[in-house]
Amino acid sequence: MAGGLKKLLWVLPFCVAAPAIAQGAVSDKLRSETFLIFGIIVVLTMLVTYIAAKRVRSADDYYAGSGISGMQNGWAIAGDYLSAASFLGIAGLISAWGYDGFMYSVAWLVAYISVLLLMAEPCRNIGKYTLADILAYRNDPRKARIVGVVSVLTVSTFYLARKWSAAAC
Amino acid sequence: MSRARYDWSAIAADPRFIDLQRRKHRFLALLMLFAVTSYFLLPVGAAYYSELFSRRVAGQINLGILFALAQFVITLAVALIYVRRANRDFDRSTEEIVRGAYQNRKAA
Repeated sequence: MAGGLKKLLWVLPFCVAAPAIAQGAVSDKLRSETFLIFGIIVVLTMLVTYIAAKRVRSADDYYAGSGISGMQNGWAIAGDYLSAASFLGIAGLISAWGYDGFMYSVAWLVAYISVLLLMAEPCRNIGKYTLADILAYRNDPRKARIVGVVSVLTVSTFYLARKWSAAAC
Repeated sequence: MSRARYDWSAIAADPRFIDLQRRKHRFLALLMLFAVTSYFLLPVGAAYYSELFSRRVAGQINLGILFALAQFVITLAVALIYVRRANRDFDRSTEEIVRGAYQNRKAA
């Protein structure tokens, strides 16, 4: 039962996108609106990608080495989080569970407050690019980087394990 | 490289720096407490005060939906309050301390 439910959660977002298997996932009344909004977001994403690609001239630009404004960086981070998990997944959750799914999406948003106040605040104005850079700046660089690498690998392992189990169930 | 430019222990002992840290931590803790409280009212309200949350306001829209939507406004407001305070207050104090430390180093 739990496995089936998990599978349903993963499949649901794709039901929103694919009319052939959208039986009951989207109400008939709102079907055209659903596809319209989906299409608009896809077009906007492509447009932003195109504009950004035109501006990049060297590998240096790719790493934001030439300096980008705070506003541009904010948009980039926002775009980063509009992944399949947050965008399609949340749409599927709201479609499947209604208010409960909506509450989940709110939690996602409010969690950024803790990122802002607890993580981003101490990094403010340091002028470093990654968390490991900041730790290395304030502490023994070699040890700090080892700690950074170990924590990245630990988090990634658990993150991957969850994805594997979801894909395999 | 820029490590050697400042006397870090002198900055750490600077009363202006200690004051800035205290003000900053108090501000962040209060803001965090406010954001967390306002968020946890949502699941608590939905679970234990469902009569209140399901009260209709207009058409299909009830208090629960409005409260959940209000979280988006509250989150944006918290972010803007922080940015405003950081730009106007914290950055200015930091700059003063840094300038003082730089002059001290030159004088020494």
